[in-house]
Amino acid sequence: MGQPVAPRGDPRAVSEAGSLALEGLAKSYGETPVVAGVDLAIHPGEFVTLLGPSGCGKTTILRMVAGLTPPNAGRILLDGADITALPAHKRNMGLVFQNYALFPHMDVAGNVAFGLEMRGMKRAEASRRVQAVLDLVRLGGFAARRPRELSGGQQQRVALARALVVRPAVLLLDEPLSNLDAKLREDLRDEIRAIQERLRTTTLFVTHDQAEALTMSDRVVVLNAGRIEQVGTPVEIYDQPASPFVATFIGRVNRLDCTVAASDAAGSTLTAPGLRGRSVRALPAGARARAMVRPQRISLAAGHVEGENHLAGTVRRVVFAGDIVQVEVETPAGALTVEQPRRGLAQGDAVTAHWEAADMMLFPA
Amino acid sequence: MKSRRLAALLLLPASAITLIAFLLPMGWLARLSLDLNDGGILVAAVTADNYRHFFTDAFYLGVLWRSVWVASSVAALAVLAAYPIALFLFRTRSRWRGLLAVLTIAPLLVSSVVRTFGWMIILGDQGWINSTLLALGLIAAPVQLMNNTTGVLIGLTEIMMPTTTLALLAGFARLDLTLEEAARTLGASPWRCFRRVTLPLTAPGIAVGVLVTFVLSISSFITPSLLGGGRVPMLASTIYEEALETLNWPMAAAISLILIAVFGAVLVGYERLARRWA
Repeated sequence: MGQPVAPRGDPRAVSEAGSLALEGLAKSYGETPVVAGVDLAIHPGEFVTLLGPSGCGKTTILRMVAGLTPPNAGRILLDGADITALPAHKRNMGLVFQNYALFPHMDVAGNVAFGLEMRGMKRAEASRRVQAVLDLVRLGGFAARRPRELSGGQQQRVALARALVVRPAVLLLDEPLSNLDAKLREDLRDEIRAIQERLRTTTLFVTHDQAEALTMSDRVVVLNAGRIEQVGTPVEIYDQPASPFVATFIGRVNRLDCTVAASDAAGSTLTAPGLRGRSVRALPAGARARAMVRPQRISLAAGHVEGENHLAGTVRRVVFAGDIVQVEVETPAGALTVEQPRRGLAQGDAVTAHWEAADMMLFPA
Repeated sequence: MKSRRLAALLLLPASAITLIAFLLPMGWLARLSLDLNDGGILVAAVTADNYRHFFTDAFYLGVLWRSVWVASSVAALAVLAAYPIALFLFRTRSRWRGLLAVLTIAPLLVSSVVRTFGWMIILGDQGWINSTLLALGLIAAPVQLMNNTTGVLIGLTEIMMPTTTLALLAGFARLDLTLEEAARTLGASPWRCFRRVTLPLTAPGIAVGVLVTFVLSISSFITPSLLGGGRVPMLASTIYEEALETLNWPMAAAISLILIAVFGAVLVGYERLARRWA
C-alpha cells in the first residue's frame, strides 16, 4: 500500500533502521495534561521501557507513536522523517495490546497474516513468513486454531508474532504481560527479550512493573504525571535515582530525615538523631535533606558499634520471606527495614545498622 | 427433590398463562384452518382445502410474495439506514451519547398510527414533498408516493428504524474497539479495517436486526393498510379482511398459520447463522 515491503527472507533478518525520536510531545484531555512535553531519542535496535504508575501518561505516549492518539504538540520522528501527521496504517509500527486484541473471526494464521495481506504480499510468500514467525514464538503447530482455543500466554505470543511478521520499524508493547499470571509472565518476559535481541527490532515497552523494566530494558524511562523523571540504564535508575520519586518507585527504600553538617567535593556529612552520616552526594551545608538507603544495602551487626553510617537500634520484628529475612529495626532516627540472607535475629536484640557512603542516596528535603 | 418441586411451582403461573393464552388458541386456530366456509357460515370438516386454495390462487400467492418482498426490503433498508447510527452510538465516547441514544429510540414513544399519519402528510399528492417539488418546478404533476408499495416501504422503514437500531446494538457485543486499532496499526486503511474487522464482527448484529425487522414488518398491519391505501394487500391485512369482512374464519386461520410458518423458516435460518458465531 504505497510503502516498501520489508526485505524478503528469514524472519530473523536484522533490521538496521528504526530510530525513533520524540520532541516536546504533549497531550491533554480538556484541561488535564496527560503527557506534558516529552523528549526522547531511541536508537535503532534499542529496547526502551516507559515505566511509571497508572496515569503517568506512558500508554498515551505509546498510542501517539502508534498513530492512534493525535498529540496536541510536539513531533514524532522515525529515522529522521516526521511521522506526526501520518495515519496509523501508514506508520509500519507493530503494536501488542494488553488484552491481546486478536481477531476472533480469524484463525491464528489469519491473524498473523493480516498485516502481510494489508501490504499486498503474495499468499505463498505470506504463508511462508507466517509459519516462520509462528515457529519463532514456538506456536508452529497452532496455525489453524482459533484465538479463543488458546491460553492467555499463547494468545499473547500470537499477538507478538502478528506484530513482528510485518517487520515493523518499531515494536510497541503496551503492558503485554499484565493479564498473565506470575510464572507465565516471567517466561514470556524472557522470551520477548530473547526474540528482540535476535531480531534487533527497536522496541518501546510500556509497563508499571519495575521488575519487567529492570530485567528487559536497555534503557528505562521513568515517568511521573506526564513528565520524564529520569532516563537511564536499569543499573543507573536503580543505583543513582535522579529524584525521590524514582528512588521510591524503583525498589524499596528507607528514608532518613537529616541535616547537612558539612559539604565538600567528595560528598556530604550528615546528622540525624543517633547518626553521623556520610554520603557521596553533595548538598549545601545547613540544608535539610532526605537520605534514602535500600534495605539490601544495610548490614546488621550484634550489639552497639560506633562509627560513620552506623545506626544503633533494637529489632522490632523479623519476617521470614524464604530467600531473605526482613528485619525491622527501631532507631532514634526512625524505623529501618533491612533485608539480609542471615537468620538468627530475634525481637528485642540490640543491633547496629551499617551502610556504605556510596549507598546513601541524598535529596533536598 | 425439594428444589425441583419448588421450581415447578414457580414455573406454574407462566406455564398456565402460556397454555391458556397461546397454546390453546394456536391449537384452536390449527383446527379451525381445517374447517370449511360456506358463504360466511362455518362448516365443520377436516380438509386441507383452505391451504390448497391459498397456494393455487394467484391473489393469495401474490399476497404472500408481496409480504415477503416488502418485509425483506424493509429489513434491508432499515438495517442499511440504522447500521451507521448504531455503530456511531456503540463507539462514541461523547458525553451526549445517552441523549443521542434516547433521541434514536424516542419515536417509539409515539404510536405508529400517528407516525403513519405523519408520513401521509409528507408523502401525499398535496404533501410536503410533492408541493415542494411542484413549487420548484421540478415536476409537472404530483409523484405517486403513497397508496402504493413505495409509500409502504418508506413509512415502514422509518417506523422500524428505532427497533432495528436497538437490535443491531444488541448484536455488537463482539466488536472490541481495540481490534479496529490493531487492524489499523497492522496497515489496514479505514475502509479495509471496516471490511475485514468491523463488518464481520458486527454481522451477528446485522442478522438480529434483519430478523427482528423482517418479522415485525411482515406482520405489520396499520402502516401497510394506511400508506398502501388498500392497494398493497399483505398477509396481516388479508387475515383481517378474511376474518372480519368476508367472515371466512377457516381461511383466516389458514393464512395465520402460513404466516407463522414463514416466521419459523426465518428463525431456522437465523439459528443456523447464530450457531456458527456462537
